[in-house]
Amino acid sequence: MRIVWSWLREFCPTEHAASELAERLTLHGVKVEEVLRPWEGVQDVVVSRIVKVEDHPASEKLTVVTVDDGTGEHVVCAGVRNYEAGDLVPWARPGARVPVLPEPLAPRDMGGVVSHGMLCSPRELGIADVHTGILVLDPGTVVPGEDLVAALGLDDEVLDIEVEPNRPDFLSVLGVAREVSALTGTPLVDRRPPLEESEEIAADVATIQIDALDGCPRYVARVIRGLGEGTTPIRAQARLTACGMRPISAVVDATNYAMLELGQPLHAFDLHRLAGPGIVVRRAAEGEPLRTLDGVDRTMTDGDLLICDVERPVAIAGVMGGATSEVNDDTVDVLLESACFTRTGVLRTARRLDLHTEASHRFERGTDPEGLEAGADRGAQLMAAWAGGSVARGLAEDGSAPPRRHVSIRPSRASALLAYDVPRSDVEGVFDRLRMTHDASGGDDGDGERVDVEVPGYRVDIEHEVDLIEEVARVLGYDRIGTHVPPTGQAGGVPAGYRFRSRAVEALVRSGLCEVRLMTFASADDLAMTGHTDGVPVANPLQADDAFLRTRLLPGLVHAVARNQARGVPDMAIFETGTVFRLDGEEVVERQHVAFALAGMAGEHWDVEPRPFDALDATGVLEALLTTLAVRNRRLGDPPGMPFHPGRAATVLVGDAPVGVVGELHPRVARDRGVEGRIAACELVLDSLLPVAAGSVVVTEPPRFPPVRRDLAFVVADDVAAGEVRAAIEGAAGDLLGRCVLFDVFRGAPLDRGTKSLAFAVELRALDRTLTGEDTDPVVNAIVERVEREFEAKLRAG
Amino acid sequence: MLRALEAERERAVARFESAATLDDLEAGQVDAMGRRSTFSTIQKSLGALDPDDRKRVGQAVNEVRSVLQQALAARREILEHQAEDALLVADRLDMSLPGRTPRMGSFHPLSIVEREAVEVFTSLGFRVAEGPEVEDDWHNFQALNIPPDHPARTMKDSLYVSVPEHPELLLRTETSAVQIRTMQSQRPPVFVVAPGRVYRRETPDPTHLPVFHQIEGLAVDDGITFADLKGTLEVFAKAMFGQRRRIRLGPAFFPFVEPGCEVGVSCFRCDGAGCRVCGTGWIELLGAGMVHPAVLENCGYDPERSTGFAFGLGIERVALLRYEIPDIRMLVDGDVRLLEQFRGVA
Repeated sequence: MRIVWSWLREFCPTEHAASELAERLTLHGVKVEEVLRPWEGVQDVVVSRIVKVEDHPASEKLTVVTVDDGTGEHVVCAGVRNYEAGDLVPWARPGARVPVLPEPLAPRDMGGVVSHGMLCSPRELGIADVHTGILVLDPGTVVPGEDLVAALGLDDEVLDIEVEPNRPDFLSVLGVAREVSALTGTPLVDRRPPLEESEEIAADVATIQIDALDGCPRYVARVIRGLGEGTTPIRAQARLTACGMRPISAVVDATNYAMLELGQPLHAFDLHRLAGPGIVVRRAAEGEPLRTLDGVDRTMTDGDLLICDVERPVAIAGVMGGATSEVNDDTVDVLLESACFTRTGVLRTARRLDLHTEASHRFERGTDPEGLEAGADRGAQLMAAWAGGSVARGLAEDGSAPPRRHVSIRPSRASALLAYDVPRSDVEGVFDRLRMTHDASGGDDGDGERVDVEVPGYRVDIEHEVDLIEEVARVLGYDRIGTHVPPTGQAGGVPAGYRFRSRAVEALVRSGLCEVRLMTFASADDLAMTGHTDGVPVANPLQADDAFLRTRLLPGLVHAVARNQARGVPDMAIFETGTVFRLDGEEVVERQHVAFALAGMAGEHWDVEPRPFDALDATGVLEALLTTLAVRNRRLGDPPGMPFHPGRAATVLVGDAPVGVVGELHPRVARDRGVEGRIAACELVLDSLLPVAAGSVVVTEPPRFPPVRRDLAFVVADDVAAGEVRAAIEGAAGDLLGRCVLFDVFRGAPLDRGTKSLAFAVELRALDRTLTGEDTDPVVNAIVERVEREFEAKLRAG
Repeated sequence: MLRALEAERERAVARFESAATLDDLEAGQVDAMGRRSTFSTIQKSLGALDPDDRKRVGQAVNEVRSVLQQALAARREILEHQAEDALLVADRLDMSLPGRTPRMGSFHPLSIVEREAVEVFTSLGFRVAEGPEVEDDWHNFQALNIPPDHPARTMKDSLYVSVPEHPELLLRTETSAVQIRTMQSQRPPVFVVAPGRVYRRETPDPTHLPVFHQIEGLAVDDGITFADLKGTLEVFAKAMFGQRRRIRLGPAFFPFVEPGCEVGVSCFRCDGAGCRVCGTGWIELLGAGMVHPAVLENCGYDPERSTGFAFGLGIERVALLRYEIPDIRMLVDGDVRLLEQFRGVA
């Protein structure tokens, strides 16, 4: 909400500039986001009298104008001709600045005539979005030679206020003025001229009948007759523009101006376009049609509230008027609506129609049910003043404003919550400043002295004691509150699942991977990639492509790899942890996953042969991760199928339970998603690993006697799995086994085709003695015998 | 004979000391102590001497041998070191060549900020609590005093999921829902923080994402006051942003707290003077307030007995400010050129 400071000072004539008060207002509850000076770009523009208007010698479009600024005559070229000799206009002299031009004005040759400066339109000055002609000033308010900034008050400041949904009273100049008054002590004043009424009785002209008091507790109307052709004063237009509203006509501007000033939305009906003199407020019939004044045909439901004449609906209550009864240039007589509509009713209708107006914005948040008359009076008065016409006596009305709420506050409770002493006198002082009536005569009924506060209609937010306590805290200032750190009486900590995920992150960072965070949405293609059909659909996705919640982390990583590669970064090792979502019947199941992806070259060094990341890099990282997470009893199973490579991937098992997948992506899957080369990846269900992770460790004492190392190389068929040979060696070695490490894999001459050599370093040791040949020979023989038997292997060296 | 021995000693020592190489020293040793050396000859002649002379000369021979052996060893060590030093010169390496660095990982900036914040609060005795990201309407809204027609509930602001028979399910809009779940599962005192992902229906732009992270805090106990809130957040701000930081509270509205406040921290970059990060010297950091009595009642707590405070911190906001990241979308892009800059940050 924009609040023009000079306007506010008409109600609370504080001597402070807006910029001086901005921080103080913010700290006491009026959040000033910015102090604007919308017209600071206007400099050296002077009110000047037009002396002569002549045709341009060379151009049909241009007019040569001679103006007098009180110091002398000056010649200017203009592109429009909506003025005549004697008119007062804003003349921007050479050296002047106007908001639409980046540079100060300089004399300029225009078709052979040197133009000294320019005559300005309202838009060029930033005071109204009107560019159809030069601004012709009202001779009664300005004099030639006067600086335009001073003449029109363009040195004004404008507060840009963030209005929170609980304080709709700040959606008006008066509402903010009340708060400024409470905070500065400057009293509120009312400098508006009194409303003059004609002899005609409004209630004789129009009748109001509310058939839905639950949606419209009160409705009043004024009748204004004999409206003419007057225009809105330029200062009022400038204020409307500064508040973000477009000046339209004197009648409409009057309703908007009054709304901005007092917070009460008004609607002007053309009295003669209403069928009959009566207004009926009723619920819509299901499917009832109405064309709103924006020209759109709307279909109503039976929950909507309509304003009707005796024949048909003429407005959607609190949202927008109908096209048939709209005021226009020919309007002479107006019925001016000032009503109170319930918040939820307007909110539902506006939301359903996706139709949000200044009026609906205010009604949804709550208007002052006691402010109808003041709003109607001000609107009628401005309308009559700006467009001519007379205001009929009194109101046409129905319904009544609801009684005021009474809420009480215990000073003792305020003291307890705010942790400083708030005596009753302070509480009363706060509500005096807020101009709220209070009464402490109820005394103490057992749980502390009470102050009963009568809540005015515009404070829709105050319902409970704690709301009053907030008023006390806010007005006295949050800086009154001390600081104290509460004793928690417990050790802080994190749950097991949280710690486990943190450890996974740390393990992967330690393994050299870069942590990423990605969006949690997934496309249909992502689900297809993992073969999942149980994704959770998003009902109202931002983009049709992101219509699901992710079922796995892997697709996001694949896209991240492709994005990096597209930027010329081919090599990366990245990982993510996070939630994935699957639908189990009607239940959304959330699981914590960890996944990583390795793409491009595995490191780069001038004396190392470069090689791409492959599946064994992934199993290596997996090994480090599961070791760090103390997940024992792990092994790799069969290839998991798509989206993985048929021969370079495996299911990760703990015991016999699958906990994840590891390996290279299927080349087609990678290629189709823009990934170059191999991409090795892994995804694990952290929630499945947590229960099987060892909580702690019981050490085995390191052997005191040195091990004996025997290197054994076996020739086996190419399709024999090294892991199985290793398992056989470990099995045969029994208790004496220390370590068994595969240190060489060799193919080629002199070996037969289709065979390979696997060389293992086998370390044997005993806990109680140094081993001799007598100890180790039988073990080595047993190993050789078993490997040769199980794999049709041949000992090559050993 | 003794004189000859003495002369031979001097000659041999000089010979050793003048040896330029180990080979030369070897030759010197043969020359001075070998079978055909003068020294050897003298030694061999001992047998022909009478016992007194033999004892005297024999002693002198032994002394000279010891001296020669020491001189030989000393010279050999020097020559060996010289020879090794010569080899080391040849073994020189260009130390400016790239080292063999192991691959270095990096934590995501959001993880770094979250962990720091969690460490501060756990050190104060808060416990981490977690909750589901797909929440139901009651936990996400109603229990938090956000009535059915509150603007925050429109389809415009929240992301809903399509689950048959469950129109009430949505992606949580605040981690505050964890407050409710925590209070439903335990009696006061409650001191928890809930870090996690939250969702809003916001089109991504430099300052908005539909998915972002918060840390929610909740303290409920008998006699918790606004001063407890202020004190806790001041400790947090100092721990996160430096001991010189001050905090500033201004009124703000959140449906689940009353009184509510917005908390600003004096800028960690300019110390409150005003700079391009903060503008005004203050950084609006989080929303907070005293837990609304209706929220306590919704969880079965007696608001006359138990009072509490709650706060919510945007993790992205801290990361963007602290690391001067110009666009929030960079945080979820997975651009390793950005993320690898965090290798030095833990």
